[in-house]
Amino acid sequence: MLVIAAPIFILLISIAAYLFYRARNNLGMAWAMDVIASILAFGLIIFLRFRLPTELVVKDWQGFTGHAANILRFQADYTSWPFAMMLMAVTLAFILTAPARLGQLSNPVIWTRTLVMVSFGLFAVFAQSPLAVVLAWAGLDVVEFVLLQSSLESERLRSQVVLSFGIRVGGTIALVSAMVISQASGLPLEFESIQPNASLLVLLGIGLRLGILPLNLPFTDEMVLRRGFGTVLRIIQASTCLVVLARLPEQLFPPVWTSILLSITFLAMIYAASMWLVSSDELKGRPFFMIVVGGFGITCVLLGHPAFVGIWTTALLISGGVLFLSSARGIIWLVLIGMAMVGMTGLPYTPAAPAWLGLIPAGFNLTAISSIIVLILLVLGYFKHALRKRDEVPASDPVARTLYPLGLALLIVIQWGLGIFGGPGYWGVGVWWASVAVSFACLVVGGVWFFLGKNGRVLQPNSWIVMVGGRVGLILSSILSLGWIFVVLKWFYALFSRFVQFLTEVLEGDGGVLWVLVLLALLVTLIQGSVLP
Amino acid sequence: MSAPWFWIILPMVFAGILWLLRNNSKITGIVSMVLQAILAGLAALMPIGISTRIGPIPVEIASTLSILGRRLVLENADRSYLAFLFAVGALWALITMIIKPHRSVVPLQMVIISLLVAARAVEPFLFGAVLVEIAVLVSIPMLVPPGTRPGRGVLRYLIFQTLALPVILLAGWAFNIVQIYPENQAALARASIFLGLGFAFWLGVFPFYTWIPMLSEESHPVVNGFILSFLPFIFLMLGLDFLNGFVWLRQGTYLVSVLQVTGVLMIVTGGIWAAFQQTLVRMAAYALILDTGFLLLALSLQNQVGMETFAANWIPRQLSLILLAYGFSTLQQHGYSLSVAGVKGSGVKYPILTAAIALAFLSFTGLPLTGTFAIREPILGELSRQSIVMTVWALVGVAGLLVGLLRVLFAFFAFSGRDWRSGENWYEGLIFIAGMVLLLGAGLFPAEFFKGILNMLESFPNLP
Repeated sequence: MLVIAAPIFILLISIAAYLFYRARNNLGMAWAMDVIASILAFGLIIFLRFRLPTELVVKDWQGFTGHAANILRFQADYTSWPFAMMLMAVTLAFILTAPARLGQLSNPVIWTRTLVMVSFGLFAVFAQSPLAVVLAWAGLDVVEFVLLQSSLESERLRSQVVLSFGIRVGGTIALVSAMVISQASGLPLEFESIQPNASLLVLLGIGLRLGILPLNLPFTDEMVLRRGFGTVLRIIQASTCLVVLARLPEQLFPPVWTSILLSITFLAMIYAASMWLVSSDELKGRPFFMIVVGGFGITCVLLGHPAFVGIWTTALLISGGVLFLSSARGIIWLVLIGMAMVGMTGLPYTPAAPAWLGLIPAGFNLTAISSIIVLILLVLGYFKHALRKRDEVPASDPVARTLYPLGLALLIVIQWGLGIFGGPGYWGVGVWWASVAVSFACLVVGGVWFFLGKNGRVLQPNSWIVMVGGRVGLILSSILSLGWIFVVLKWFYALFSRFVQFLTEVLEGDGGVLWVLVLLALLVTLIQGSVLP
Repeated sequence: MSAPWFWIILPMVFAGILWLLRNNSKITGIVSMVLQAILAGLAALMPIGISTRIGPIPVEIASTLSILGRRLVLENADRSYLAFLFAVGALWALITMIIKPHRSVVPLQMVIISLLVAARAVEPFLFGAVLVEIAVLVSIPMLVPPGTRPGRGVLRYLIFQTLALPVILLAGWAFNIVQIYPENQAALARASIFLGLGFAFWLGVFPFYTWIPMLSEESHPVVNGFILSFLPFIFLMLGLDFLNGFVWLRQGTYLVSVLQVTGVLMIVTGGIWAAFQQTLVRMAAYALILDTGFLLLALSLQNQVGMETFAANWIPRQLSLILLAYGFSTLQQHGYSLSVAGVKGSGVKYPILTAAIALAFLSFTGLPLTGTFAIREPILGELSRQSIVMTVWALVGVAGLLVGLLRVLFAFFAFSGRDWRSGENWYEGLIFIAGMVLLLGAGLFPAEFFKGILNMLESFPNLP
């Protein structure tokens, strides 16, 4: 039961805080209750580190006799714990920095919504068996759907939420299909020993939910999700998929499939990293950042090193969290941003360092070059967005002034703490030349760009290079974003709709009964021919 | 007193009384609901054919009642089935009382339930077909309110249900021949074909299900929902009685194949057709067709998992049907048409109502968190051992229904503005929330929820 104590606890306290706020209209007290809930849940997660592995198992969940039962198992182990820790760190940072965002729709309702999502997110992170994963994913999707629909105002955004929900449910169905198909051999699906016929479906399910395989970005209007709620939401969705990736076996696909899937993944990552770089601010670029993080996870799995998924992605997500939660700037903030960037590069003995072994297991090759390019684009984008102009923390609010940097600093502390105490293999040199190459390239390009910008020598918006580049980028973006797939699907839907309509009219029309008898004759012929001897 | 007195004659008598009181819909609704709840409780608690004591008084409910040389038999093993049937009946009475489709509905519902229970209880079974036909005829005044003309859907429903009668009677004749000449293969084949065809007409098996969406479109959601709730249930129970009673039937090599092919065809066509419907009621009809397909697949497995999933499936199916019927009727009462375009924005103004409708549809798709997930997953898992192709097709059908559901969700939330409020009445909200809690409860704790209904299988000792 210990494993689900934190999510249940955070759920109950956050709802209590909300009810208290509704009854007394005391914003400060509600915030304090949320802070206490987050700190206690955070403490519970730290406590779990000393009890790994801890699990909750329901063996005969369905209760049908003779069924090769799927086990419902929630487990805190070295795979899931870093994700849970990262999630709680981001949550605590979100709550601590919330007073600095009071002017930006930060209120007890948003805090409760966020904590409810975190609670479901923790369930999904600790879900160890496929059955537990699909249930947790479904719960998360339904809760997110309801919370978003109740907070949005425009029809367009509401439609985006429905589409996003549909795609995520599609991912869940893919995993359910994998569970079903793997039973053909008489055994239930286990992530650790997945069968080849089910592996593609599992990857498709995770890829769909991460938005990377195939590339999909149904909900791109990030501003309405706001800085705090949106950030936690994105990180929850990503971490609940990435933790499953980290559980997959080393040999997932035959080499031919691996090459094809790697190519698709890198194409999506380069596109997303470029879009992250050219986005006008970090919130607009946030979905692309998440796609790149997911891409790193998938690449590790495809290259046969799922153990490194957790190291890469927790480090990147925490660094992302620092930037996405930053609504104001200051001296301390600059230091924190710098440390977060270092955390992303994977330099030796930094949090992400060993993870390079997951991306570059076989020395210098095309995969290594692609990975390095993607990470350079990602760090450069981070640097660019970090330099964007921000507000100052209101001087009149001592709580905000104290807790805002503390919340962000907590993320950096946890990032490094995970690097040191995350688990076996979380600390080391990694592939030093790759991390140095990324750091060097970022320093040079970033420095030049910064210097040119300071001296007003950046390219003018009306220069021909910018215009041609923009046009080419637009064309590439419209192809690679795969928005055209939705257009094609819509066309097919309309075509098939006419066919169905025609058949319905025939079967339900005046001669319908006769047509039904003709169909019966056809069916009998079919069964006689193919089934009966 | 015998069991048929309680569960067949008593509801019939009360139906007559309620018919006289039909102008007061509240009274008829409450009486019907309370009586059916009592009968459900009685079935759950009182053993049949076994002497017991209520305090100091020894009591024994006999299992058999003879009328005009025919026997009505309800045995102790039928108690779970009776409890479930009357509990569902009580819920329908509650919904009918609130929605008030028209004044004759409640008494006619009681007559139909009574006739359907009798259809399964009567011996010899041939009279069951006649009783079913009477129940179908009684349902017509319910479907066609006084002063209106029957539509094509009602006529088609009547045609197909009536066509089943002679075919089932012919099956009875063929069964007699089989009993006299058990080695006669031609007689065996003839009996099987007649029986299969009869059940295909009754159940609305592919391709005989065209009446289901047509009827759904024409009739009141509550009335239609009631019919689609009870008829398939009794038909499938009768089908299991046949399989339980005749060894040559259940061991026929063709049975599995026929059930699988028709089941998958119903799932695929039901799911894909649902994706393209323009009205919610038709979509629900196709969702039900898909669900019936899964019931046939469960039977085709011919093992304990198949039988148990078959029994368990009735709980989420009936709950979803009730939620959909009540949800559609309430939407209509709030001024919405039931076309996909007509419910635009209702998700924002009636979030609980629309959430209940969406959850009921989700339950029919069998997604995780709903009760049907715990049932569909083993069915498909077992099916995949026999045929991966069939499994993939079944999943295609499910995906089709999901597309239909997404279209409904798009429509529900096609609204701009900050007008998120709960426009439902308190009792509407209460009923929808209770329904959703039950559906989600079955999805989260299936073993506990389905434990009771699995006892229904005690009626079929010869089946796995």
